[in-house]
Amino acid sequence: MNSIHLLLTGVLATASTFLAAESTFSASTPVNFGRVLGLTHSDCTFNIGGTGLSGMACLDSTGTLGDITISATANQTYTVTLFPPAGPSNQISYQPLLVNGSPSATVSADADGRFTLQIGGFLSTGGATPTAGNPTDFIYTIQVDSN
Amino acid sequence: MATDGAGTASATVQAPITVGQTTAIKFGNITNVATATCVMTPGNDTPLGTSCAGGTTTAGVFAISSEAATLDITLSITTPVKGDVTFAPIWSNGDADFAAGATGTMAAPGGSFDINLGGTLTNGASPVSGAQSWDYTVAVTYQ
Repeated sequence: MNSIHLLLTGVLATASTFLAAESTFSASTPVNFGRVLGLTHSDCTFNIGGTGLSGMACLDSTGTLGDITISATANQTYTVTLFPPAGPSNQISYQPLLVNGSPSATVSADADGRFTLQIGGFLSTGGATPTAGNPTDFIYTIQVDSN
Repeated sequence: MATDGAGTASATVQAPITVGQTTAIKFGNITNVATATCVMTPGNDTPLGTSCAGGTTTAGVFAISSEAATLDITLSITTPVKGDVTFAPIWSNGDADFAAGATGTMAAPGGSFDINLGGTLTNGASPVSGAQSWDYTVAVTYQ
């Protein structure tokens, strides 16, 4: 009698996917340039890496960097990109920049899934004079892409 | 996967300061006596001193326009000695006088207002006869 032994060999294959948690934003400190002169064709810039301000339009020597904490996936790497407002406010254009002087950077979330951005940038005016008075606000966009 | 968030930046715009001379300082005539002086007090058109000798005299006035704020005001003079006569300008904030190189403060009311200026002419050993003028600068900034 013949017997047939069937050897069943299987390989357990695993397909996986990584689900990155959606990022949430917590802005604890807005960017503040302080006082700027209402001049045409002038600018005011946060110096790279610091709170110092320079430029013809700056009235104050220091400003406050923006401070935004982003909650995401622990130990995940992200590309952060800042986008300016769609147009000028009160004749003033704002370009947000990270403290490395660029609108974009690669950052890593810590073990708790958080990272913090410090944001400065520069203000500039064209040929029209801004109106003096109440604070002028600029709403910019932060885009976070998981790498 | 991309996620977008929004941030806020702000700045407060202040009107630029304007500064202009309304009335020039005029000491009128002075004598050429060595080491004599003629002093123009801010706000007083009549100078006093051992070298003052009449003529048309006026204290200086500058008009400043700014927002209501505390201003820093500094006089400077590049060439104070001409014809062996030294000019030392001063300005007054109403409470104190400030010489060239010293920054004084003034509480600006907002809009246009005046500051008063004067100074002292001091003769050297041999003042040169004839008309003489001195240029000086008034620098005004928001504090």
